[in-house]
Amino acid sequence: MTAPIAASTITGTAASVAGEPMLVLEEVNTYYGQIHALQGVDLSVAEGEIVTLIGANGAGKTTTLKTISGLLHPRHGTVRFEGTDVSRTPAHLLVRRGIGHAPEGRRIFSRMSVLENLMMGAFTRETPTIPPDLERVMTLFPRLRERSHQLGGTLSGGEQQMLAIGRALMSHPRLLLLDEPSLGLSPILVQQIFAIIREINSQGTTVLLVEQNALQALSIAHRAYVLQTGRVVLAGPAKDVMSNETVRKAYLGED
Amino acid sequence: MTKIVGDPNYIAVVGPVNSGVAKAQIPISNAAGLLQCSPSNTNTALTVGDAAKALRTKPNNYIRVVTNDAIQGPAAAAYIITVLKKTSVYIIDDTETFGKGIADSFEAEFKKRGGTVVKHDAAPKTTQDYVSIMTAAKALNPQSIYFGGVTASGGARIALAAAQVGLDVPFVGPDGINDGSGDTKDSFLNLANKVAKNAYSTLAGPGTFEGKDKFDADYKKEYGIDATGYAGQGYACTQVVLDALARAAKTNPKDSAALREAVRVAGTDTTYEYTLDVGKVKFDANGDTSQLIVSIYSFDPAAAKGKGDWKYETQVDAAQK
Amino acid sequence: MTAIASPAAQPNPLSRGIRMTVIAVVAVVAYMLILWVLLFGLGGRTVANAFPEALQQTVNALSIGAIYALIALGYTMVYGIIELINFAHGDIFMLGAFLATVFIAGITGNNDAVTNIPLLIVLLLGALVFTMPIIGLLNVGIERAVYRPLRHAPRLAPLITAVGVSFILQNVALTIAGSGDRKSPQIFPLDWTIPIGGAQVSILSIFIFVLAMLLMLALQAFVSRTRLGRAMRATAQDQEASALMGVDANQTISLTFLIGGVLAAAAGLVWGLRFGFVRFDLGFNSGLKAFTAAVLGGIGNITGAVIGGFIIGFIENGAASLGYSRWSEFLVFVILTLVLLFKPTGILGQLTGDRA
Repeated sequence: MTAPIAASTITGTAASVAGEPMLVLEEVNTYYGQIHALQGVDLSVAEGEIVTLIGANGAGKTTTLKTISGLLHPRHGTVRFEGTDVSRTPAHLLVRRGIGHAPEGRRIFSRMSVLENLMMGAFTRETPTIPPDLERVMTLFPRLRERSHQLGGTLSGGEQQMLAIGRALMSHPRLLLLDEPSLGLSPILVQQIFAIIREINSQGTTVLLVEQNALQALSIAHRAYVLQTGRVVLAGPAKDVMSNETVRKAYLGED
Repeated sequence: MTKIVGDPNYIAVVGPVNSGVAKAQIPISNAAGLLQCSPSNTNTALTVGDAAKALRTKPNNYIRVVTNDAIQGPAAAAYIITVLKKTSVYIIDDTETFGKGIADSFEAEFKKRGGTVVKHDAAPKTTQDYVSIMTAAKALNPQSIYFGGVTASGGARIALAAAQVGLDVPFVGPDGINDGSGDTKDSFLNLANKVAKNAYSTLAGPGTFEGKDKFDADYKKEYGIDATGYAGQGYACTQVVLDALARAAKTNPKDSAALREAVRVAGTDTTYEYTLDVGKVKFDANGDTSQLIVSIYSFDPAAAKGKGDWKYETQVDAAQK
Repeated sequence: MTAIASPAAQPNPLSRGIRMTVIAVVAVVAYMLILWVLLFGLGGRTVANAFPEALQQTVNALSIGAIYALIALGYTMVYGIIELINFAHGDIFMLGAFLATVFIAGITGNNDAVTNIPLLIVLLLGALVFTMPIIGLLNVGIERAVYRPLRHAPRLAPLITAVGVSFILQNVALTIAGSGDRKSPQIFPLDWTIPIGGAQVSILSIFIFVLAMLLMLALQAFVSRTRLGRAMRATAQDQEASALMGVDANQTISLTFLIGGVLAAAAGLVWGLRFGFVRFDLGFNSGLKAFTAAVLGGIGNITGAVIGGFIIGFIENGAASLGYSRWSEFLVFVILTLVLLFKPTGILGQLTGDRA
């Protein structure tokens, strides 16, 4: 970490369309009680992008996603989504605004069937619009169709991850937050999941992806942010970040 | 009571109403040598036996103008067999000292007189479902029901449940359900209402005495409410205390402590015969009255402006067996 | 039981419902037969006499069990969603019983036995329509005013507060109504009976059971089939994840208290009809037993609470039938202790998918 690229020098590239990017975090400081978890995070995601957030355990990746989706609120700084300050907006209202969050640890409803889990994902939607979305998710994840009447808790890890992503998609998000979707999955499944993320993105959903599997994440992302102890220490196009010396050493397992 | 005994101005106490309260008070008043006269305590263990002795550390200070449950329960048994002509009974008590005690003494007498006790059940006052209990009672085909307890511990609830399951037999209870007319808040007759048509209750004292009508009228005039239950006995206790005070005064006690002791001695004098509203009475060494009269009441639906009230039927005098 | 975890046994709700019904019917018939045998074996009845009595007692058990079950649902649902043992819930039931009494007495002037059937139906429906929303909203108000501020406090704080609320509600009733029994008009004619198998089965008992079952089936349908019901179950399982689905946890919790209050109010109404009295401390014992029912069935589990309620009803009735009423509470708690000792999650705890 001798020469991190200053984040501020790169943020300009995020503004792809006219006006402000879809999601903007400015000087976000989030606390868990006394613990200062995010120490002034600046970040932006433009519409149509896949942006990944990489960093070590405890760097603040999950906290960043929770702050965006409203599960946590920043003590200082702002979160703007589509031009509106949503720093204080509770999570259940942000879903309606178009932020979908597949949280860390999948958090599926284990005592509900797969179908019910998906219906929960569509909680904010009008009933007639649900069937086509259900069809879309079932097409993306054929396994979910097979198991639609099985209880969530009885699914395998990979199936649960698919369910978590599918469930988040059911809310028809314009921005999808994915927290460690590859965690604990077999390499083949990891490939599948990343392929699906790319497909979701190509269908028009903006994705903010938190990953420990940095190589995979960087390979599908347009841009990347590197977090370290609650700060953005590096930001830029995924290719540049991937080629950054320190990143290669610290996160991509190269000497 | 601790406050009262500590104040030398108190020379005697009329009360308490409740046997349970008496049990707690007697040790305190006894140690202080303060005369206590209860108008309504009927629990046998307050005056008789080891339990009574255990309450007292000094010479007796407690007398009562009503007779005890060892007389009250059996009187009901005698009434059911000899007057109502019912030879079997279902007994239910509320598991408490008074209720169980009187139900036991009732049961013994009922059996002694050749009656059949189909079942002696017990249900604590916290019981929820009396309907099931009465369903079981009905299956045993009793000719009468005896309840040992008070209204608050289930008297009316049992009568209601018995009516609900169609167990339409005389329902007899002690003074605990003789607690006012159908117009009296919380009373047995107020709650049991129409199903009380077959109800009987007892009081452990004379239900009528010379001048009772005048007493009732004066009472109503003075307090604005009907003289119910043991009102006459309350007055009798007051007479006892005044009488004892008059006799104590003749001994010229030198201070208030001596006066209190003199009142106690005069009050508990077993040889003295009091002339009270309820009749001529002596107290024995235990503090029990020589008047062994229990009155029986039935339900009069027309009384108390149609709300119903207890009507004096007869009295059973255990002294004249 | 292990079958529930395997994909093959995935509950088709209908077949599961049929299976549960069959089990319930078998259990009820078994109870009746056992009681029959015990009555002539221990109770000194003749074989022929004992049958109608056992039948009658079984109906009694179903009717008191239904009341406990309705109350137990409020405990179990609230526990399921915020892990609070709402000690004040029994008193909510008590207030429901009082309110229904006030409504009925206010209209009928304390007259028992309304034999005009349309009038009776109007009165009963009126009492439900009057009592259920008021008690439901009272329960919601208590949650909002008292429990919500303590949502993130250490768990002991809301628990103690619930005990405090219980005392407050009792004292409100005590102040207004006094300490004695208050008469509750038994407008449902008690002499309406149907002769079955030599027994006179009271129609009131059947009414209580059917009303309770209808309410419980409606609840089951609501929780399992509707969007809000699903949201309730989701919140019970994972409050944060359901917030991410767009579920407002506060609203869902309010809804849970509303439903609990509504069911307790219905229980209060039928209580008055059956037993003819209400009292300020009614909620303490009923509440304790209903809470026991909820724990017995597996706290947090709706079906479990219903099963638990009926089990308590049967235990109490069994004791009363055989002349051991004084032991009924003792028995209830012995069985509770045994269940908790050998199956701490209760009968259905966490095995089924319908926790809410």
